Amino acid sequence: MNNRLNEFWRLVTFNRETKVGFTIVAAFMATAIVEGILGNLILPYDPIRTFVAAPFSPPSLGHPFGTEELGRDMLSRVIAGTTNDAIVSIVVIVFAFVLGGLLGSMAGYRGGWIDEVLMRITDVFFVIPGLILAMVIVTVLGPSILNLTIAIAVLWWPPYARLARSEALRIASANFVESAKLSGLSTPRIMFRHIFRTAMPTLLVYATLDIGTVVLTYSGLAYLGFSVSPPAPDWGVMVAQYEEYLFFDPWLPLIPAVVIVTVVIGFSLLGDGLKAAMQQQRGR
Amino acid sequence: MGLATFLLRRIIAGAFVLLGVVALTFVLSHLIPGDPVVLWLGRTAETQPTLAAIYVKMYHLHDPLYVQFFYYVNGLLHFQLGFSPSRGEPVLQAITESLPVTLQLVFLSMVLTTILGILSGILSAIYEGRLPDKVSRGVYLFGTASPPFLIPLLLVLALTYLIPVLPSGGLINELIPLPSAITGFSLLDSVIVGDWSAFGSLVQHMILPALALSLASYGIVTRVLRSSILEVMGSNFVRAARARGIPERRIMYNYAFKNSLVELITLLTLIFNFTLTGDVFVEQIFSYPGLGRYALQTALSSDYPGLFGTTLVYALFVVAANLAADVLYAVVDPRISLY
Amino acid sequence: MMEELLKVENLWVRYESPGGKIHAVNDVSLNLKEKEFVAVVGESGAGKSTLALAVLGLLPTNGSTTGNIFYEGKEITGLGRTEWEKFRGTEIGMIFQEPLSSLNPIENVGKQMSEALEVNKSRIVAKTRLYDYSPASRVMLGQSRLSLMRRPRRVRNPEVLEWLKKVRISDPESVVERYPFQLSGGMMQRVMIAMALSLRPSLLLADEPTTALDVTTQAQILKLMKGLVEEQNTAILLVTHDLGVAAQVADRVIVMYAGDVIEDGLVGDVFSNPLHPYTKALLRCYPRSAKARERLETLGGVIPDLKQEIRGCKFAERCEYVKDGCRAEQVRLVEVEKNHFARCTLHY
Repeated sequence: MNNRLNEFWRLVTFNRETKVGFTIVAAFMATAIVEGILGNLILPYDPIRTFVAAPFSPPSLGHPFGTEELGRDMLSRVIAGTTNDAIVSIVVIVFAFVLGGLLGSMAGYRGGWIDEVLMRITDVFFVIPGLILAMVIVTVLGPSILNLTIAIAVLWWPPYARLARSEALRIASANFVESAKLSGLSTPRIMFRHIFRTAMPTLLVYATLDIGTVVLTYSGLAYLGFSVSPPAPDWGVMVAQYEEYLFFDPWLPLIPAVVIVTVVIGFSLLGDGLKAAMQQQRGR
Repeated sequence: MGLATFLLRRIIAGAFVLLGVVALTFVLSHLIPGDPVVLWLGRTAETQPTLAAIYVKMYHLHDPLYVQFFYYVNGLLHFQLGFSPSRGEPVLQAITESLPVTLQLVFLSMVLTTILGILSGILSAIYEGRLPDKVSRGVYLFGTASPPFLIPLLLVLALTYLIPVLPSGGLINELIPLPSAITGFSLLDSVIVGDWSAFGSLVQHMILPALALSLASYGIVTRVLRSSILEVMGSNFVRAARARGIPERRIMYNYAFKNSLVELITLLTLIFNFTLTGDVFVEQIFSYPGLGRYALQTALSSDYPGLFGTTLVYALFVVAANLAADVLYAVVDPRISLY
Repeated sequence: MMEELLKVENLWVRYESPGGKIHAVNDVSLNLKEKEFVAVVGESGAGKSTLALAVLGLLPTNGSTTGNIFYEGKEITGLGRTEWEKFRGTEIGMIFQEPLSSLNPIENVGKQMSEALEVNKSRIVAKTRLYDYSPASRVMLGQSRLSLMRRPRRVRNPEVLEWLKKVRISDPESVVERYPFQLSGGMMQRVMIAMALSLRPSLLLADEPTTALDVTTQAQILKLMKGLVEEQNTAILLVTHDLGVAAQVADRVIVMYAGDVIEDGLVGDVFSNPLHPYTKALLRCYPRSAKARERLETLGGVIPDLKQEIRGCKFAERCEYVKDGCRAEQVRLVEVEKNHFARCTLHY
């Protein structure tokens, strides 16, 4: 256990950028978890209650993110909005990782018609722009945050399948897999213990970089109106809600947007650092 | 000879994928609860029962699924895309009105992205580790981490309000009528007809949206090209070329850059997809009457014929873009077509 | 007329690596005369490739050198980029081990040969006038059989075809159209030799040019190279790990070990009377066809870690003649018999 922790710490503090990334990601996750569990209790103000202060106040000491059109505190709203993005992105990534990883490993290892079918299916997904497909699915299912999560998850797994497949192809020809087969291990066992596990690091690095992308996709779709409605606190929704005040009170739509950028950059830096750290490990 | 068969195979593969997309939209359209006619015609199904009846007959909407599928595909091949309730016109018409607008915008933005990306990519490679390189990394990080609405909003704030130089929306100045549709592409049409005020206004209204799309994505081109160039410059055949006395300038272009072209083409294909996505937001924010805005409209108003129609058109264009990329690959790298 | 074409004086080459400094070449000095064929022999890591790269200034960015290299009496260490561009190819040329990775993969072979000629044109012209080479290479060979419409003009460069013929390529017109990945290793290496020599260098560095080829092709290429020395007035510095190769073609052989020159002499002298224990051991490793059931000899151990500074003789670990004095201090290179040097306490 201790060894794993050390390994983790070493990877995560690979260089200065990675540390910054990790800090941002950790802050994001921690906020989401705490806010998710304790709810509005930890917030300075109730994110939905109106007129806790004068509306349209620019950022100040009392209200670091200012207040909005109906006097709600923006800081509380932004913090409250963390959970949505965090949960959606985690759910989507886990789903895509598991489904895509398994299907892809199987296709790459077994080959044959399973492989062909998987390739054709992923081809179809790759040809429709993700946003459009998500819009179609969520329209069919009905706009809600759950349906939006489903929609994004459905379009998210094909790249993982492809990645897992190519990893499986690469690994399957390796010697240790041959010896596992020769020693009579059954197929599911080989698949899990050897192939999937060996493919994991590559998939994990990709997933880390990818969480940020889910946040972008989700907040974009939320902005367009496919998630919850105002005044629910959600970053994408808030940008749309306050867009009309862009000229006169720019902090209102821009602060949530900038928070999104920061979180995504955090994931990018962390993912890049992990990738570099693992490459160095392999290179040795 | 190798080239033609190569392309033919790719075209056939593309056709199959499109069939898959058609199948997908068909399946999705049948997941929607309710009477199919209402879905396809919206409220007009009730107000115009005769039209509804015609529809039922044409698409065999009361017959088993596989029959419906056949007539659906048949209809598509005859360019029958249905009626779009949110627009009050046939889907095909809505698409032919909005598609050229988007194509112009996307084309302009891709050109901008490519030029900006190549220039800053080469600069970042030459000045590796120094300021231009660091700046380009920053642009890349910010561009790829921005939600699709951020850069357009910032541009609107900066260049239409703070420094009011450009219009904040619309295809063209309201007072200037659009040139008559010859090719359907308003830019070309205005040039052909010689309507320069229309042309000027069109360009003026295109700058910010195109810029918004390019700024978000050119950072990726920069980084990929940079790392590709650097990698090639350290490779064996570059070393051997230096050993023959070939000047660095020439190596940079003929060897490093040209060998990076394959990667560049792949990247541009990805950026095309990325741009189509960002285009929906840009068209929304700039009130640009293109396919993206229409697609959004159909989704928000549950206009299924329009929605599925636009999906198909999008897929068609992605397949076409992939084919174009395949052609470019073959031109740039002889290994690809001669295998 | 310079007696010494190339003179390397006290050359040290170091590489920076994450694990420390790698001492690749230590205090190497050597001379090369015009038209001389010298083989530099050693196992992997001996520093022979590094030596060749250092001469042409082609070390990777993490490499640094101290010492001097003179070509035709002029110092060439630390030349600037433009000076190198003028110098490389036309004065000293180089061919590498993997011919496939020595050419631009996306252009055809003929175009690249023409490019090399084009880029160095003025210097080649100056040189050929100086040395008055065979006018035959300037003769127009008449129209080739190729379709005139589709070929870019450069490929029909007759000089390219002429040079390909010189390296015994029987069908140069079609070879010229091919891309690197379409040619065999042996063919590619001939092309590389043709390309290198077409620039009329006085010295050709060859870094293990035959290692990637099968034995028959290897023999052909070596024979070709030897022949061209005479024809083109070119000296050759051949880097190889194979003593047999050196025996076949070289006039002189220099044996390197762990970055040091440990023996240097005429091929006949070194092979009949190897002075250094390492050379002796290497020669013993070669199977002698006479005795059928003799056990193949091997040389135990490995080369020392190049990151460490080692006191005394680097070969001491593996040497059968080792004495205490060997490890005490740096062993000097001594002329044991005429023009035959060795770095060993045996000959002090």
